[in-house]
Amino acid sequence: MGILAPAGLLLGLAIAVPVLLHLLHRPQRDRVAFPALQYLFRMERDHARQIRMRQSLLLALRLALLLLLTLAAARTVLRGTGAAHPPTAVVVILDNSMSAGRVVGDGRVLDTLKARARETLELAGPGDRFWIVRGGNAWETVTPLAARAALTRVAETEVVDTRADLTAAVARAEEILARSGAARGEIHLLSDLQASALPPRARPAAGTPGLADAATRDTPAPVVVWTGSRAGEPNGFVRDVVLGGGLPPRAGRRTEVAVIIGGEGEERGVRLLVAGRLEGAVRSQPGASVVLPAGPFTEGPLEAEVEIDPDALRADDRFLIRTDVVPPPSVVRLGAIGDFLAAALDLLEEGGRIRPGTPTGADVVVAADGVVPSALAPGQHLVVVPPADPARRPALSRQLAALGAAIEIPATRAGGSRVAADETGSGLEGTTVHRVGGVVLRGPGRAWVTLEDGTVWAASAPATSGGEIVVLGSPLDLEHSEIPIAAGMVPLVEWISARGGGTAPGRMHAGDTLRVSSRATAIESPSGTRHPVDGTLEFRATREAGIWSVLAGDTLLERVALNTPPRESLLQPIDPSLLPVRLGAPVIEAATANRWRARIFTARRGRELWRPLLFLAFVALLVESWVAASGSATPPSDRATADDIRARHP
Amino acid sequence: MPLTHSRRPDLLDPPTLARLGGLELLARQVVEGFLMGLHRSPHRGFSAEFAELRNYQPGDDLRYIDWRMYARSDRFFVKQFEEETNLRAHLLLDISASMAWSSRPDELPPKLWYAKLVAAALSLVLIRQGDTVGLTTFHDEIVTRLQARGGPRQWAEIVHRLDAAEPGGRTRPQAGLRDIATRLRRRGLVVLLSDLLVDREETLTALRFLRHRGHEVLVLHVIDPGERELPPAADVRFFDPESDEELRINAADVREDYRAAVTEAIDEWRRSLVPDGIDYHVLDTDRPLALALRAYLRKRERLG
Repeated sequence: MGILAPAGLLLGLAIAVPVLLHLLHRPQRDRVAFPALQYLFRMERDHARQIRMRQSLLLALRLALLLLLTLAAARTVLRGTGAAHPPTAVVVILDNSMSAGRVVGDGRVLDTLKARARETLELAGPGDRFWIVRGGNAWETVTPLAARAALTRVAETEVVDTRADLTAAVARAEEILARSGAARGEIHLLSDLQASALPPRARPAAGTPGLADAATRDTPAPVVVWTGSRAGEPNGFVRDVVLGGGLPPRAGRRTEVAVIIGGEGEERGVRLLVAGRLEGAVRSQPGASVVLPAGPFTEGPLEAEVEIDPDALRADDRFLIRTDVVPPPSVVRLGAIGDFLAAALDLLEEGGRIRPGTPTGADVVVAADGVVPSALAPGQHLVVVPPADPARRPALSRQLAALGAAIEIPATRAGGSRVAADETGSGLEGTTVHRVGGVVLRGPGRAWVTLEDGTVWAASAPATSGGEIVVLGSPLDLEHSEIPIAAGMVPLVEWISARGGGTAPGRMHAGDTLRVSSRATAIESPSGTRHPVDGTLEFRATREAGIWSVLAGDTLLERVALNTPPRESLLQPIDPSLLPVRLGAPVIEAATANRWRARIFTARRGRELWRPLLFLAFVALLVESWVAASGSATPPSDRATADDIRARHP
Repeated sequence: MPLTHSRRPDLLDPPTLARLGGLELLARQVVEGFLMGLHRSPHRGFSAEFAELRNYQPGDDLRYIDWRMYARSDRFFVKQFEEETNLRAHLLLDISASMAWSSRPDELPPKLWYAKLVAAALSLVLIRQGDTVGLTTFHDEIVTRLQARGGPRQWAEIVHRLDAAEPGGRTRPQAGLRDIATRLRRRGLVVLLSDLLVDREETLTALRFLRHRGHEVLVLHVIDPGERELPPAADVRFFDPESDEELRINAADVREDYRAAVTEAIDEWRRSLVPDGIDYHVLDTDRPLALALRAYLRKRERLG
C-alpha cells in the first residue's frame, strides 16, 4: 500500500476537527420531560444487547466510512510486482567482500545477495539506469548500465578477499546519483551488514567540493537495505603471524613463528607449511596465540603459510608469509654513538644478528655526533643519530642533502612528548621523549616514529647511493628520551641495522594498493592472472589473498604476500537501527525476498484504489443508513431540533 | 342549529373540542351528541316514572316529547322521569403529574383534561340513566372522594370537583382502588381513568381485588400520542416529571424498539386484565370522546 497524495490524509484530520469541536463544545444534552419513561426503561431492559450491538455497528460503520473516504482522498495505491515506476537511477551496492563468501546452507551469502540484485534488475523499467558498485572492489570505476548489462555484471561478480567499507560505498553512490542528473534515485544496499564494514560516516568539511552529503540535500535518495543475511556465526581466523619476533630470519638460524588465532569457536588445528612441507602443527583455541619453531633456513626468499582447520568462512583460515632469509648485515660505527646504542649493537653482534663491517664495505653505517661520511657506497645505508648540540644540526642537514636525502634536522628544540605511532614494529608507543629537535621530510621519504605532538622522531629518505638514510630526532641517551631503557631499544636498533640486511615481512592485505618499482611491467596475481602496470606505478586491484609477483618482462622483481583483512573476519552484524546514523541517509529495510521486491523502487505506482474505496464507502453508507433506520422510524426530514422539543415540552 | 353528524361534539377531535368551552358545557354537549347518535341506534332500555317537563334540547329522545304541551304552547317539552337507580358507579381519576403532560401543548390537550372530560361525560350519561355516580381523584394518595349519588346536583358537584382537581404527585392507584373496595358495599361499576404509568403488579393486584369483590371494572388507559412515539429530536435527556428519574438515550437509534415496547406494554395490560373480566380500553387523547362513551356503553349493556 502506498499514498500518492499524503495531503489527502489531512482530510481525515479535517473531518476530525468538526467532530472534536462538536464534542468539545457540545452543550449539556437537552432535558426533556417525558412521563412514559418506564417504557424506555422497559425497552432498554428488553433490547439492551441489541441496542448496544446496533450502536457499536453504527460506530464502526461511520468510522469505516471516514477511513475509506480519507484513503480515497489520499489516493491510496496498491503496490505490486510488475507495476510501473518513473525512470529511476539505481546504484546497487553488491557486497562481495570476503565475508560474503561465508557458506550458509547450500550456498554462499553472495549468492543470496546476487539473487536480490537480479530481482531489482528484473523489475527495471525502460528508463532506468543502473550502477553496480561492488563493495569489495573499491578500485573499480563504475559506469551506468542498462538492466541487461547490469545483470551480466552481477552474474560475473565473485567474492574477493578484501574488506568492504559500505559507508564509503553509500557516499559514493550518492555522489553518482547527484552527478547523474536523474530526477529520482535509489540506492540498493545488498550486504551481510557486518558492523566492521559500516564505520560512522565522516561529514565533509564545510565547502569541501565533491562528495555530496545526503543530509544536506533536499531529498536524499533512500537506501533500501537488505537485512536478510545478517545472521552471524562463530568464525575463527588467523589474525596475525609474526616471524622471528618481527625481524627478518637470518640464514642458518632457527626462528619462531607466532600465530594469533582470532575470532571464536571451537579449538582448531594450526599448521605451518614452508614450501608446501609441514613444518609444525599444534591445536589452539580462537583468541589464543601459539608459537611454532621453524628453521633453520638457507639464504634466499622464504615463503610460508599458516593454516587452521576450515570453517564456514574459509578465506581467512590461512596466512601467507613472504620474506627473505638473509645473512646478518654488516654494521660500522662512526663518531660517538653513545653507550646505549653501542651496547645494543654489541648485543646484536653477540647474538649473530649483525656483523662488524668496514666504512666502505658495511651494509649499514651508524653515524652519530654529527660525523657523517661524505659519500656512501652503492646500496649502502646510513643511520644518523643527531648531535646533542642544536647548533650543529644545520650543518648535518646540509651534509645529508649532499648525500641526496631531503631530510632536515631543525636547530630548535621542542618540549617533551610521547611516542604516538611506531611503524618500525619496535613497540615504542608511549615512550617519553624529553627533548627533541625532530626530523622534517623535505622530499620523498617516510616517517616511521611520530610523537603525540605531531613531531616526527624517525624518518627515512632515499639516498643517491641507492641505499636509504634513516635519521633519528634526538640522541639515544637518557637526557633526551627514555628510549634507551625501553624494551623497544634493541628491536629499534635491529630494525635500524636491518636496513642493510633484508626487511621483516610487512603487513599487507588484499585490497591494499601495491606500489611497484619503475621497472615493473606487470603484476601477477596468486591465481596466475597478469595485470599490466600503468604509469601510476600503483596496483589497486589486489582482490586475492596470496603471493603476488611483480614482474619486469619475464623477470621476477618482487613477491609480496597479501593476507585477508582481519576486520573483515569479525562476523558481527550491525543493529539495523544504527543504519541511518552510520550511512547518513534514510533507510528502508527489507528482510525477506517479498519485502525486498515490495520496497525497492519506492516511487513505484501500483493500481489506484480510490474507485473501490469509494464503492466500499458507498456500501458502508447504505449499510449505515439501513442499520440506523432499523432503530428509527422517523425520517431525517421530520426530525426536529432539540430547541423545538424543549419549546413543546417545557 | 341542529347538530349534524359531522358536528356532533362527541365525534370532534379533542383539540377542536377544547376550544368550544368549559368542562360542564363540553360534557353536556358530548353526551347529548352521543345520545343523539344512539337515537338512531337500537340501544334503548331506560325505564322510569314521569317526574316533570323540561325544555327540549338537541339530542333528547323524540319519544319523550310531550306533544300535548307542544299543541298547547307551540314549544317542545320533554318529559322527565323519576329514574330508577340500578347501578352504583364510581369513577377513579388519576390526577398525578404525568397526567398533566401533552406531547404537543399547542395542539393537543393534556391527558388530564381529556380524562376529566371523559369522566364528566360518563357521569352525565350515568346520572341520566338513573345510576348513582361517585368520584375519587388520586395521585399517590386520595385527593378527593365524592360518594356515589344520583341527580343533577351530583353531576354538578362532580364537574365542580373535576374542575378543581390539580395535577401533582406520583401515580399510585392501588390506594384509591382499595379505598373504593372497602367503601362500596353493593357491587357496582368502577371506572379507572389513568395513564397507567404505575407499578404494574401492584395495580393489577388491586384491580383483581375489586373484581374479586364482585365489582365490574372498566380501565380506560389514557395515552397521549406522543407516548407511543419518541420525540423527533435525537440527542436529549428524558426525565420523568413525577420521579425526576433521568435517562440518556439517542432517540433516533431506538425509535423502533421503543414503539414495540409501548405496543407490548399495552398488549400486556390487555392480556392481564381481560381474562379476569376487566374491560380495558386505550383512549388516545387525539381521538374523539365517543370512543370512551361507547366503551362504557358496551360495558353497561353487559351489565343489563
